[in-house]
Amino acid sequence: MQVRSAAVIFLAAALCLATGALDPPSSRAQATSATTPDNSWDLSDGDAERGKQTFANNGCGWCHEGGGRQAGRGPQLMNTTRSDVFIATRILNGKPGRMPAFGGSFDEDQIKDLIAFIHAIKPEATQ
Amino acid sequence: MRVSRTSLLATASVAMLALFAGIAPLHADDVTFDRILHAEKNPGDWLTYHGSYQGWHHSALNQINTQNVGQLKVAWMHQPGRATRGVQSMPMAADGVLYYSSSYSKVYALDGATGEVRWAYTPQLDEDLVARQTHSPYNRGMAMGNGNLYIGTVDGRLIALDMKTGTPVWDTKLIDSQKLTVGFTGAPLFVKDKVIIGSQGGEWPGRGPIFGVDAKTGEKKWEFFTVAGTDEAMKTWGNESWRTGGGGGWMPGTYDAETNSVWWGTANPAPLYDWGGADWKTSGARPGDNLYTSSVIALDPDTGKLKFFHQELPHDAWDFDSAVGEFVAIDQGGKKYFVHPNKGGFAFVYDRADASVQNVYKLADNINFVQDIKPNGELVGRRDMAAGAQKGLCPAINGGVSWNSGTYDPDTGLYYKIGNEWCMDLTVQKTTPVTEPQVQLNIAADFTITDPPGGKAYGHLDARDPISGKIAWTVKFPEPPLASLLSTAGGLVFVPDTRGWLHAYDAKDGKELWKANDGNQHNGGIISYEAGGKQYIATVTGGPSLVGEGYAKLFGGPYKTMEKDTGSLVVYSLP
Repeated sequence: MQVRSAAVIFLAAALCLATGALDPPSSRAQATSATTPDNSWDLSDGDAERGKQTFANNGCGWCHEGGGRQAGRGPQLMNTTRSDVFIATRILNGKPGRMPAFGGSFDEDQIKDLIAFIHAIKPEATQ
Repeated sequence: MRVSRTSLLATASVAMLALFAGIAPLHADDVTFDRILHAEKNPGDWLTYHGSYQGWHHSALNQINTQNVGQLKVAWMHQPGRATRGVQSMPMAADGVLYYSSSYSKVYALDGATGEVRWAYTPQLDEDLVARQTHSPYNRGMAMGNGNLYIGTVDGRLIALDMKTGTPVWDTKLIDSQKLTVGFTGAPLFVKDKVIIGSQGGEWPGRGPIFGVDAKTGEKKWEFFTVAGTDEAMKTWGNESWRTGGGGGWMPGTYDAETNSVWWGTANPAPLYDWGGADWKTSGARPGDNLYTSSVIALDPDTGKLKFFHQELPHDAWDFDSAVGEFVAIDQGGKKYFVHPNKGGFAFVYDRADASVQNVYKLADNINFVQDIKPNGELVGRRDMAAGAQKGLCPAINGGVSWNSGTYDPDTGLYYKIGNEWCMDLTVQKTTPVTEPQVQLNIAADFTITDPPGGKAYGHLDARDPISGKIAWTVKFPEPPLASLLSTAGGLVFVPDTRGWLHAYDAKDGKELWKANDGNQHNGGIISYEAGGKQYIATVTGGPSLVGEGYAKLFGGPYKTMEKDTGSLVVYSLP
C-alpha cells in the first residue's frame, strides 16, 4: 500500500478546508489529486484487534489515557461523538501543537483499524 | 546597584586591570569561554543556561531585595509570534542585551532596559516534519560564546547566529530527523571552543547522540551515543535491543574545569515500560542494564570520550530518567560535589572528581517504584512490572521532579527545589520492536495519572541543605509549579507557578513577600540581569508543556479553559 507524504496531506487538508469539506482523501493513490476528495474509503471496514496493536505500538496512550477510555493530554476516545470522517482526518493531519500527523506513517487499513478500535473501547471493568 | 562584596571586589579588580592594560570595555561579542568560566565577575549577565557552570540559577544582584520587592512592577514585555506550547526557554543576558528563544527556534535580541527589538531571527524549518512530531515545536534555550548565539532546531540542526545582527554564521545538520522524527529542543552548552548539544531520545529508536561541534566553523568534531556508546555498554542490551534505542540528553548539562569534564544527564531507554518483570536482566523488551541510559555521564569536551559515569537507574523501567540538566556545584566540608535531581524524585550527590555517589535523598514523598535508594546509590526493592495492569505506581510518569531547574543560594546555603506528588495506574503492554521509526512513541503501556494515596495531587517548594537533603522550610502549591526557580542576593527566591503567579519568597524562611499574575502559566526559565545600572527579573510564560497539558483533567479549574499556544517574555523591575 502506498504511503503518502505529509506535504500532500497538508495540501489536502488545506483544500478540504477551502472547499468546506471534511472528508479524508479517498485513497493513498489518489491523494496527489486531492482537489476533489471523495468518500471512497469504507471507514467501517477495520479490525479492532489490529487497531488496538497499532494504538499500542505508536504511543497513542501517551495522550489518550487509559487506552482511550479517559482524557489526558488528549481527549477521551471511548464513546466519541465524532464522525469516522473526522477521526480519519485528524489521524492523518494531526493538530498543530496537540497531535502529530500520522499520515506519513499509517496506511488506509491502519486508520480503519484504529477507528474500529476506538468504537470497540469499553469501560475497563467490562472489557 | 549593590552587589555582593565578593562580586564587587572581583568586578573592580577586572575594571582596574582593564584600565591599566588599556583594554576596551567588554561587549557582547566578547563573551568568551573565560568570561563564562568566571561568570561571578559579571553578575549583571546571564551567560549560560544555568547562569554559570556552577549551575546555581542564582543572581548576585541585590537591588531588588526583601525590603522593596513589594514594589516590583512589569517594566516591559515582548510577544513572540507562533508560541505553540508557550515559551519554555531560559532567557540570557550580556552587557544589557536580553536574548531569548521561543517555539520553532525563533530568536530575539532585545534592549534589556526597554524591550526594544534589536533583531529577530526565524529559521526555516521542515514544517512537514514538525507536523509529525510529538515533542515539538518548543525550544528550551540557547548558548552564547565567541560572539555567537547557538540554538538547536527540532529538524535536527544546530545554528550559530551573530549576536550583534542575528545573521546566521553557520547551520549544521546533525541528525537525520526525517528518519528519526526527533531533533533538538534543549539548549546547547558552550565549552572552550566547542558547542555541545544533546538530542531528544527516550521514546524513539536511535542512539541518543550528544554532539561536540566546532564553535567557529560548525563542523561536527565528535558524537557520543548514549545508547550502547562503548563496547562495554553494548553488552548491556540483550537481544540487540540497543536497536530500539532511547537515551538522548535533551537538557543541557554543565562543565567542571577542574576535571575538564562535561557532565550530562541522559534519558530513558525505549520502550519506556518493559514487561520483563523481575527477570529484566534476561527477558523482556531490552534485557540488561541498558547503558548509558538514565545515567549521569562525564565527557571530555575536546574528544567526546567518556571519562566516568554513574547509572542512576539501571534498566530504567519507569521513565524516570536522568535527563534533568541540573548539576549544582557545592563545596562543603572540604569536598566538592555536584547535586543532580533524577526524575524519579531522588537527588543524587556526586563527588565531582569521579561521579562516585556520596548521598541520595528524596525530593518527593510519594515514591514506590523502588522502596528506597541507599546513600551509595544502590536501588532497594525495585518494582519491575510484568505485562498487565498495575495500580498506584508513584511518582507518575510526569516525575517526582520535572525538567526545569531549582536554585541554590550561597548566602543561605540552601537548595530550593520543587517536588511533585502524584501517581499513576498503568497497563504494561508487549509491543512490536520499533526500529524503523516514523512518529511512534515507544511506550509499551497505557496509563492514567492519579492522585497519591490519601489526598489530592500537589506540589511543594522545599528549601534544603543540598548535601544532606535536610529540609529548612516548605511551601505547598495546589498544583506542582513547572517552571525554573531563581534565587538572588537580595534574599529572594522567585517561583513562577502554573496559574500565572510569580511569587517572591524570603529565602531564609519561605515567607511570601510579593506576587503578581502575568496572565499565563509558566513552563520555562527565569533570570535576573542588569541594564543601565538597574536590576531586572525576566520570566517566560505560556504553555502547555507536555506535563502541564494533563492539568485540565487532573486539576480542572482554570486549566480547563486556559489559553494554549500563547506566551511572552515578561520583565519586572522596581519603579
